[in-house]
Amino acid sequence: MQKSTFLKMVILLILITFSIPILADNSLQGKMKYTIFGRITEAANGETLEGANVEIKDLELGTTTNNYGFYSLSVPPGKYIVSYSRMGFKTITTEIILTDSKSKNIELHVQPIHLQGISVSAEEKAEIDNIELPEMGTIKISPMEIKTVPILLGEQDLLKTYQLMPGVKPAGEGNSGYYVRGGNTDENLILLDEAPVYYASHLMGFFSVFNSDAIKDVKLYKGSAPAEYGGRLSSIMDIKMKDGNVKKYSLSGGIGLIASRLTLEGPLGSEKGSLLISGRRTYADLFLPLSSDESVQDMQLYFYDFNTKANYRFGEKNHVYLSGYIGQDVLGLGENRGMNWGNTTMTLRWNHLFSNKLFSNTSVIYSNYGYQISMGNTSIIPQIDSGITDINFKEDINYYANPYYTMKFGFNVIHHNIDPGKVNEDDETSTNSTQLEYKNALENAIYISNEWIASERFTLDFGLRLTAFTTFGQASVNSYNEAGEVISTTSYDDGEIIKNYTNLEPRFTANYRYNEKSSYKCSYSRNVQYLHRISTSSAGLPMDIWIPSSEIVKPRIADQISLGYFRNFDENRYEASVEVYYKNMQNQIDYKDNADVLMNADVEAELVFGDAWAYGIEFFLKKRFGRLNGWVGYTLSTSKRRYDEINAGETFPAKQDRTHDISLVINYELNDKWTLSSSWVYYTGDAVTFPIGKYQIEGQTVNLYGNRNSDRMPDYHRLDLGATYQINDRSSLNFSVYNAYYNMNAYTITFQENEDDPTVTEAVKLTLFPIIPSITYNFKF
Amino acid sequence: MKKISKMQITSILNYMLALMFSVFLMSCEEVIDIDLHDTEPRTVIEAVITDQTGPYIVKLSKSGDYFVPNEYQTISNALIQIEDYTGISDNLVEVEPGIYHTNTLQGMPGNAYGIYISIENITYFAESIMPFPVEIDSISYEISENNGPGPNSDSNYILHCYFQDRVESEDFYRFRVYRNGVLDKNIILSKDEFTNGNYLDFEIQQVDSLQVNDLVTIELLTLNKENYDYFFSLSDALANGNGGFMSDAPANPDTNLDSEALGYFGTYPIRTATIQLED
Repeated sequence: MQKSTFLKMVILLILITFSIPILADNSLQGKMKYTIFGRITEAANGETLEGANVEIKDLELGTTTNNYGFYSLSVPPGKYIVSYSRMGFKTITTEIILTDSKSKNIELHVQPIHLQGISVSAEEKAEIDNIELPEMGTIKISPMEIKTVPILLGEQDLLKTYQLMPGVKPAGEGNSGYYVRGGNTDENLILLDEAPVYYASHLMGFFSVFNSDAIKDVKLYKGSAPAEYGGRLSSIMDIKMKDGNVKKYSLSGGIGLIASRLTLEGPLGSEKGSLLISGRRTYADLFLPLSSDESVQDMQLYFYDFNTKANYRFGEKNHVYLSGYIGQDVLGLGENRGMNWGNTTMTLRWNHLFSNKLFSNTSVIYSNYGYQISMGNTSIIPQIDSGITDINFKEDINYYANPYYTMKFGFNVIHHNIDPGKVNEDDETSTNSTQLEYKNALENAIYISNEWIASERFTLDFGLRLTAFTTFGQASVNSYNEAGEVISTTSYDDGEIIKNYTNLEPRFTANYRYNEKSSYKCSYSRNVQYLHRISTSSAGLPMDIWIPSSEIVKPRIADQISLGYFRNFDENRYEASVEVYYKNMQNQIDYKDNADVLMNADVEAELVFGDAWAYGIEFFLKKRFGRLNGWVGYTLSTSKRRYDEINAGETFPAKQDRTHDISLVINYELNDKWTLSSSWVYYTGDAVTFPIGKYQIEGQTVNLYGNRNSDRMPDYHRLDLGATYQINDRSSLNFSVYNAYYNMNAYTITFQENEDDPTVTEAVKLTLFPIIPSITYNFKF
Repeated sequence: MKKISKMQITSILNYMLALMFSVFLMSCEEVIDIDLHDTEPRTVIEAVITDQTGPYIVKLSKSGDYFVPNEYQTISNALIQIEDYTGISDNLVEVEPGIYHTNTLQGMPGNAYGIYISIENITYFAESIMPFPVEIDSISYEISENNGPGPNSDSNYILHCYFQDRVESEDFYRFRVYRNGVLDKNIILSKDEFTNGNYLDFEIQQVDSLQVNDLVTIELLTLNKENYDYFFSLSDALANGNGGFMSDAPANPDTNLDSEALGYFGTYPIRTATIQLED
């Protein structure tokens, strides 16, 4: 697109944006207004609350707190009854006499979500976000809900809980990734306090890297995120760490069969700041030396992670936060053989109130993902190192123009530095240490996002994100012929621009509130992705490399439209929704047959480009209160691909084309002490390529393959059970069983010669996780 | 200077992954019944010309159904002609069902060869240049102290093959190991991507069950790129249990034959060295 067209579109949007406050402010137009503003926090520990509601019923107006617990509502002078509420908390109603702008900070007290048999009274009823807000295609699970779902080995796992929601599917056992609405695993952005986390699991998907004791809020956008987010096609998972208890010191943690965790938090200064340190480690490897197998005795197998955060409030207008994460996985086989991988992130943030309507957040972010593979033998230690480092500067402004209109705008500059791989040779036997060229890129974005309450029933969220991606040298860039051979090389100096792409990403969601109980929503969004993950293995080995867009590899673009109907029943005891989506993707990437991508400087020559599209319908029903509670989700969907070079250009199903996906979660509070929980999942098997025959070369049997992805893995299903015994206020014991009815789900099916008789070939299924019980002791002081 | 090939890296990683899961999590394997799509039998051509004395052999066979014990139909009465582009042309003779021999053709490094195979109504063609040979300087062995986990954990011996890589060309190698005259199944490949022009000490660790007093022969085959690509992709398709972890999208090997034939047309020189494993 030409620069002049961009400029025109951006100017047009700015004009529309700034004219809305004038158009929108209907009933209160022309009247003098004062602002009520402040912070909403949790009474027990001072944690800021995002998404809390502030309502003035008499005026039929309201607003919600932003990511930092800040709200701002501008109304004419008068006497008002203002109610402050949030799901899971007791509503506070207070009278405010407004003769001038006024700051009012509120503390809300927790009210457990499931009340035993007590119906929720009208005053205590929290705002029902799913009906009120124009968000769709989003899932928000509070950490409390996560704690009641039984997960592998008693750990409350954030990512695994999201995979129990419609539209989000686990990539499979042993694999850390997940698919959202038919997209690939690299199309999901995971942000921890605004820092991207490139590889979000420990032990190949066994555990996620997020210690839920340190997490405050998580929200997942399934492709229709507002304009302040971008960079990936399918989803954004925005994870916010707790700030730390501002009121008193507390120590909490858990001791389990496989891993243990500990969290310490407490105030800094008199309720002006706080500190949080949280850590986790496995120790199963401490038992390995007891094995009778010599090779196992030398094995090392562990992970650890730390989350730390410190924050401090300077006066009423400034607040500074520093958060960090470091995690590592180590797999060692003795004798300098092994691999390790991990993420390190750090975020420094400064909230500043320019006025009582203008809130700003400035962030500087560092994120690194790297891995190292050591192939040691007795005399030399060759190693492969690879990774990606991001440095990010971000500015976000929220402008609460008037009660009907909130505007957000800002920009984001990310510098990516990718190390595609380095082969290290030991100095003694020295010679070629080979370093694949570093790749440098700048990913920039500027956005405007508007939320407009157009009428009593109609809310609109619309915005525009302008993104630009530039790669620059020092580099030498090859071009290839059809056979993948290099035909020319161009050299670029340090800082010289190699390639630039610019894109506009419009975002739009509308909510029509039919009545108090139901609403209709629709949305359209375009997302562009400039970084692409090249997998060197299908098993989810953490040895992938990221490549930036280039002359050959164009940015991937996804356009998604969705429609939904949201309905609550029985005074919001039940929440239900149906969402339909259609997603079209351009410049999709796949591999040629027999592609060679490990440590390959010319990896771009191994890629093919084509189209992808996915559509489906998601059903969701949740019982929010009562002794018996839980949810059921069902997704019926398809995900297709088409490339000239694969299957002779015919459309074929993507690996993640899982027609049916069912999740059922049921919790039951037996009595004061015992709570039982269960989760059951069922999904259609992945599309795979199996042999269609066999033949012989050099006397060895060779599998004969047909079209890619024309076969299916067996359907996957699994039941997990858990029981929590509340010993007292401070501690509890959790028992859980993974795969309770021991379904032998297939991790892989390989086709190979029979061990005893090589003239016979057979299909061998490998099941990764059998039935696994575990016990965890949780405490809190 | 030692070099670890990509294939070794990926197979070691597969092994680590498998080991980790099997030790840690008691995973299990079982043979299952599964329905597979069928296909018409496909033509398989194994044609090789070396620089050793002839005759050179072309084997023609057909593919079979997967769950039927190996019984591959041979293809008789095919017309096979091999040309080198100096004007020499050889029409092969079927000496056994499916096995055809050349007559007077002598393989020469540097020559380009074309093969034409007519089976019923279809003609298959491939062209391949025979590279100049790289000589083996010497071979040796060492007793492996590292009996740690890894694909070579059964082997007591590590073989070393010493040779000089050519700096002016992109070179591709295959190593075949014979233990007491019997060819070992492993397909061992290397290329000079990271070691161009170096004097190389190539370690062979994958040959299991070498024992004292074995007579070991190492053949160094200097391959052209197409033959290297074929063997590289062939190893992923073998039914000896290597696949599974790595291949998300297994495919038939990259062949230099046309018309959807399976197999390949190989032209490569061979250099040999033999050693006896002593204590």
